[in-house]
Amino acid sequence: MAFVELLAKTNYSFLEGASFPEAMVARAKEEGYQALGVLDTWGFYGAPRAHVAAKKLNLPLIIGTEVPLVGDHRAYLIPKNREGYGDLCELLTALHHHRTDTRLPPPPLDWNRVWDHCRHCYVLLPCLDLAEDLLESALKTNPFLVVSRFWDGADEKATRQARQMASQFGVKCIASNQPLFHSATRKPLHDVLTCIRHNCTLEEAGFKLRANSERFLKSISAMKRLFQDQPDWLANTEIIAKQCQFSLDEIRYRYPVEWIPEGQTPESYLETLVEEGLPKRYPDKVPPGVRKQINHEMELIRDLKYSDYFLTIWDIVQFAKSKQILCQGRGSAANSIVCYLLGITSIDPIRLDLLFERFISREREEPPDIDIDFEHERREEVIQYIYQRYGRHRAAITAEVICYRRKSSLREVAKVFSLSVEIVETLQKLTHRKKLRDIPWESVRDKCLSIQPEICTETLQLYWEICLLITGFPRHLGTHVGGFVLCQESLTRNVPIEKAAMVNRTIVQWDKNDLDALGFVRVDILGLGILTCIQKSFELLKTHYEINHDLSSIPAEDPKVYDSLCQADTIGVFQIESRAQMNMLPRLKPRTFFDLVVEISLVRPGPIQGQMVHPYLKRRAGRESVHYPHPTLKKILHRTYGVPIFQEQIMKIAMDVADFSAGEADELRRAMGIWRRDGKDHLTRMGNKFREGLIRKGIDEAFAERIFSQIEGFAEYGFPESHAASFAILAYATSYLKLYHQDVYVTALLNSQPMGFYSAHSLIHDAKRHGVHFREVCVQNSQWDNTLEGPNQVRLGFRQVRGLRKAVAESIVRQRNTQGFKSFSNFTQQLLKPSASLTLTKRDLFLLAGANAFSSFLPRREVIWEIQGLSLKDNPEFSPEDLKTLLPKEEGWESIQLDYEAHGVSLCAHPMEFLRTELDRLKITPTKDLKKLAPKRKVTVGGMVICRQMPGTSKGVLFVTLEDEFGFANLVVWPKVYERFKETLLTHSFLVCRGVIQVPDDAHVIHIIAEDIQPLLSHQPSPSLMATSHDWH
Amino acid sequence: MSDLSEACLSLTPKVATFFPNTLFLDIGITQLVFGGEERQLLAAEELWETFHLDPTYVVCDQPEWAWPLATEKRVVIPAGKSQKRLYQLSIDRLRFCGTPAEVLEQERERIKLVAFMARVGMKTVGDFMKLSPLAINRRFGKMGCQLQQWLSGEREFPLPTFFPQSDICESVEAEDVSSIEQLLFLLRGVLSRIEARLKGRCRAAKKMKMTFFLDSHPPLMKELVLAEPLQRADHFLKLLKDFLNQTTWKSPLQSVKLEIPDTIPHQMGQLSLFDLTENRQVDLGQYVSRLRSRFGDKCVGFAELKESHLPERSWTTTWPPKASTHAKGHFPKRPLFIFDPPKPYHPSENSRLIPLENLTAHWWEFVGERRYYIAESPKEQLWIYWDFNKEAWFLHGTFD
Repeated sequence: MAFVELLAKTNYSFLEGASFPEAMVARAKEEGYQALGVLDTWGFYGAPRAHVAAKKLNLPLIIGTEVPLVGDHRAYLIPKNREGYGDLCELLTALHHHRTDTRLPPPPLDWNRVWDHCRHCYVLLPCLDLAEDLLESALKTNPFLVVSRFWDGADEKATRQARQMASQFGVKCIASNQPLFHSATRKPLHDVLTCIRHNCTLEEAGFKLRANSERFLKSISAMKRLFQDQPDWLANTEIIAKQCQFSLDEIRYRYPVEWIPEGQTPESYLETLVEEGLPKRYPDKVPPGVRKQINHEMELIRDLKYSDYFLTIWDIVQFAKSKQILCQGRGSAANSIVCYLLGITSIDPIRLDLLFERFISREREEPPDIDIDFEHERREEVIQYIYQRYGRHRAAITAEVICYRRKSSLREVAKVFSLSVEIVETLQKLTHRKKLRDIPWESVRDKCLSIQPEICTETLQLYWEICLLITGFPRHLGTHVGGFVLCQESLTRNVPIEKAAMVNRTIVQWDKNDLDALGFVRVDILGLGILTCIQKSFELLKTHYEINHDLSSIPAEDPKVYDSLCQADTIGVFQIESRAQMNMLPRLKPRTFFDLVVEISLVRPGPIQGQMVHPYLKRRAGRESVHYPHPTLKKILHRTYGVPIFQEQIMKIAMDVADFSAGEADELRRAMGIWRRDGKDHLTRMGNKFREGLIRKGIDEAFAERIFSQIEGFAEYGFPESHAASFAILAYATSYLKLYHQDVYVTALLNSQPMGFYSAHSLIHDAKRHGVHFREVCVQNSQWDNTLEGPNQVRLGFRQVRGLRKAVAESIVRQRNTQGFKSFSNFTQQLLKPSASLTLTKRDLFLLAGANAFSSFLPRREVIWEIQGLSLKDNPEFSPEDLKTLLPKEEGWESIQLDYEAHGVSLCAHPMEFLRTELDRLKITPTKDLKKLAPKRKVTVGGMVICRQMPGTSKGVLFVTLEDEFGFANLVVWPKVYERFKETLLTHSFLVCRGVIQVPDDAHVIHIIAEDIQPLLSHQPSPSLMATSHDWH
Repeated sequence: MSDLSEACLSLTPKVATFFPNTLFLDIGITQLVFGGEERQLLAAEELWETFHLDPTYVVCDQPEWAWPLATEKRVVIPAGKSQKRLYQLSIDRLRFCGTPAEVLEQERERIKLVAFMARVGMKTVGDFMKLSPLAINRRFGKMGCQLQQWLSGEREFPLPTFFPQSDICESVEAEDVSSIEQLLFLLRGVLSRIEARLKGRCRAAKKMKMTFFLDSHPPLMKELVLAEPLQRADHFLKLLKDFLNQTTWKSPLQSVKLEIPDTIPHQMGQLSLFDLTENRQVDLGQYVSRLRSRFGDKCVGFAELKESHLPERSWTTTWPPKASTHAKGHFPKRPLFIFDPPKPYHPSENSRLIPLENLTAHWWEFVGERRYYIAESPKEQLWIYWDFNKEAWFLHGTFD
């Protein structure tokens, strides 16, 4: 007689189980279990992880689920076979379908509905307080009664009830300890999770907590001792376990068979499409190597049966193109010539010599991953198209398991322990940008005692230990940013689907790692703001300049574009507009597309951490000779002057120099990608092997060390070359548009906000410096969007007015087109009368007046004055006495404040212009004069803060960008200075900085190393003026 | 505030108090009689020094202008100059003009008005006064017009007369008292006055505070929280008797002060019209009050169930009593009487151990894991447990 635990819950029964599936499975294996049953509350959330873990340990796994039943009962359901699993998936989908709020538990299910889905399942009912009528109704499913002995006082009653019901209804019983954690030591963590679930403290929890720690995965011998009076109950578990032969491996997931013309197979049709793409991509002559690459890829696609997948992606891209939605594949898909010829990506992998194996490899046995970016404002159209094409039963979005992170664990566990907010804030500061486990307990204790000496250190230590344990625990299910799962049959028979928090979205219960593990193919539909901007630019070009452009028709390798890039004139340009990128551009001096790819990849933590930036720049400038530590490296690194910059290069080095197989090289890549989730051990192991391989080949240890550091850096935010190349296309396109069509580009950029690095203020002032004139929002001329009223004449649209509804703007435009507005009173008469199609409110009028949108009728203040006097109930007329009121005229600074309040920018002047006299008196150097000053000279600059940035790699250095009416000043604030002036730096929007000029070698960029920082204004301006800075980590 | 107001009556008969902590003194009428405003001000400063206060004050022509003019800690404006100073103030001071009650009531509307005025370029209170009342009325209605009237001095701010509120507090000299009986006799009269005052107000005492001033020792104080509200002198006297019987005097008594700090409306039962025996609930309340008076507050209370797995934490005492709650769930067999704290114990060889339950509760208070048993012998049934942390047996209770 053996025993199998059938009802173990893991932490994927959110805030209930206190052990990871892997820990539970490992414990079962240790205890000599022949199989283990793992069940989740309301789903199969943790089943894939448990499945993978059990497979590794060769332990048969039985999965199940708990469902709520009407009458405050519950049932445990275990599928016997694939059919039963499908039925349960459908039942769970139905359960979640009726959920009105994803934060609340699902409504309980009707008994008979559940039994109808259990023809191929075991139904297990907890016997304690089980209603007789429930058992009676379940008899058709041959249920089992679950008897547990928790040593909590109810054991005797449960046993008595089980025996009585078993004899009365002729049902069998099984023994189970219903484990909630793998080890008894997890009881405190379980109690804390219970408190979080019930939103109470440990003191308040009372009987919500379990009386003891008995609900762990007990050894078989312990269970035998516990149920020595009922060995048959133990034996019954083994009978069930033997009958349940279902494994998640049985899910024969089939990718949807796409529609193909008659007489074609998916493969032949894909080949046809690829052939059709050839003349479009290579109109003159097909370059050598292309045909060979096509054959290579097609062979692999055929063998691995990915044709349908490529056809799906092609179909989605075709749909987007038919609707004029700009899209582009990103990531490793750009390594594929097939993707290029199908129009999915825009990078010619042959020209850039990209590594196809980074995309698909035979060894990897993993579905390809194609991520496609769509215009962010129109991505929803694509999503709804997919739902419509495949149906909601065949398509759903991937879930994202939201786990406890540093901050959330500190905060939520503190509530449970009734610790003060001060303690939480202190610890959040102490652990800022660090992992909790890296902080020694002594530091935590000392820090907390310094702010709250009376705190009990023992309690604090318990709190800290729980925080360490809970970090990484799944909390609830979220929605992935855009990963779709598609299925040939009903997806609901493969995985339960539930509603997402966002309306019109449905998600599967598994995240992308689970789906990958089970061989599901995902299609990533992502949104990218810059595509919206580029598409809008193309439309404006067509409308106003009759120029037809698309991404492929933008003239390549234009020297003037590169000239502007070398001067770092890149505000608003995709990917290379950040402060760091703008500093790098004049030093790297890009002259070709590949240089741009390097530029994008270089300013990333990988190369920075690997100290590859300076060697690359020096070698490129010819100030350092290029040498290769090993002859093989020349082939791999010659394009980047012997400096590894791309992920693909690391993989090639691993294969060609460190003797990694293609599979191992890919494993190294994957280790870089998933170390955050799975820990750094694997990455370190792979990295060490890599380093040893290099040293073995006689490569200098220092070089090997640098590449190893770079691998770690890539693990943080690495870019494959293909991805950088895809982005470089967009960077080039936007640079081109900015250079040749500044008015068009800035209009499109403003119409695509919010996106990018800079606020509307910075974009407009930059465009003004490039000769673009802006006109105010005006009820007589503006549309919702910003519009071009002539060459270099941009009319601000109603969308710039903060808080104004689009419907209001449309109503104004409609009314203007039909009747026109003669005066302000005429405007209000037309749009405030109840018969108007959309009645404006006083708030709408104030918003418009604040933006000076009535300036063609009356000065702003007078309009505001009149609006306040309007009576909306009556006819919106003005009394004559109002017109007699003499209001003071706006002064410059007042106008700016009002403008910033209304739309975050002022067209009348840069705020610094009004302070110039005072600045001159204080001998503050304007930014235009900085170039005239010699390096190392002391200087004082002043300006409006437009950006504060402290990147992770900066080691505490803060970069601040100040703007005045002439341009920018780049401040570098070292940690000591930052600590001294922290409050001023972070709270003031106008600063004066005294520092030393620094000009990095061969660059035209000027840095000011800050020594002293003071607020420029004695008082804070209006909040709107303070909100112009974009602050980044 | 009321004590200060009471004291300020010595400066001027016209004293008015307002929430929050605002005191108006009309010293205009006394300027000639008491030696001028300056002297009055000095006297006032001396007065609030004795109260350990450091108030912001304004001396101005009209009380309704005082608050907006209070831009500094001490503002003294010569007679007849207040309005001019007022009109020079920043527009945001508009918010504070008028009676304190109105300022608080209209706070949100006034903030909006000030923001609007700033938006249309009004910088000072004077700018606001230049606007036509009609235009103000159209935009801000009555509130806007009233503000203008306050500023122009057209509206009158009648200062409400201050009536000192006297708590129920009675004192008696007790220097000659030599026995408790004498003292009780003396206090009987005091308690009668208290009863009369309570009856006059139709209120009953919830608490009684007693202060016994001693010859060479600090006063002895005791506050009694009453189980049932009381009004009658004889009831109070019983409580006092219980307390005094338990009290030892360190030095001779000087005087006694009795206060009633907390009262509630007293609903007289119909039978009370005839002054018959009160119902049993009141009797019970009196007994509990007497017990608390005799043994101390911590010793007497009502038991209440508390949700906790730990036996010694599953009840608590409350005062005053609350509606009882019943815990849900399955509970093992537990004795009614337990030892708190549990006693060290070693089970005898003759007793049979019957396992009952395991407890891992209150781990955050470092209570160890326990395994409970019934130690059964022919003589008794004991409730014992093994403490896994201390590795020892404990006797926690006995079954009947």
